[in-house]
Amino acid sequence: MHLDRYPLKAGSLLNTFMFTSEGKNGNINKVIQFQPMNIPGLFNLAFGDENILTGKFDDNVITDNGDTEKVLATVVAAIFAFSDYYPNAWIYATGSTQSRTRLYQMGINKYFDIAETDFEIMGEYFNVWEIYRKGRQYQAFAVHRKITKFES
Amino acid sequence: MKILLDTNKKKIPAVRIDPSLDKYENVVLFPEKLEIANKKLEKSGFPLNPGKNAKH
Repeated sequence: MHLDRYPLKAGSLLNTFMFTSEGKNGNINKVIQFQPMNIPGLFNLAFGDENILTGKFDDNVITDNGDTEKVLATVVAAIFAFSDYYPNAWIYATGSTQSRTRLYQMGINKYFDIAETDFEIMGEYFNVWEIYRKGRQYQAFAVHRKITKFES
Repeated sequence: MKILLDTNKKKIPAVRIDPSLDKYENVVLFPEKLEIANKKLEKSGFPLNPGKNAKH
């Protein structure tokens, strides 16, 4: 399955990615960052727009550029790239608002069948972590690249 | 710039390495979000041991 996505560029350590969303409101630079959390090996997935006036990044802005699917596919691509470079890392994600968390969940559900072949997926349901199940309304998510084992 | 990964067979996307982004590597671009995430995890904990063998 081919997912249409934007070209990605990254810093040398592959923990910060940028791409440009092209849509009805123009070109908007977006950044994805995997931020080390207090638990070693766990990285927070953060995502936002660049403010061209200040050069700062904002994760609360609602872009509404008409390309949500392509943006989500690009974020998924960044997760693949990051987890390929850091295969033991867990990636934690939660939305800055409930609606954004639901958006993330919609993305996971949409690509679940593809994602679960490559990732272990956990969901946090009222402070309890469990293996991700479709239909649950989770507050946060964590994914980890499955280690491929080859038999000789 | 160089192409670091272009391995469609592995489902890994082409990623162009851009040294101009290195300035962000050790900068937390969304500190509030990180703080919220860490606070959430203080409540829920995390059941696995992702730190083992992980690169940071």
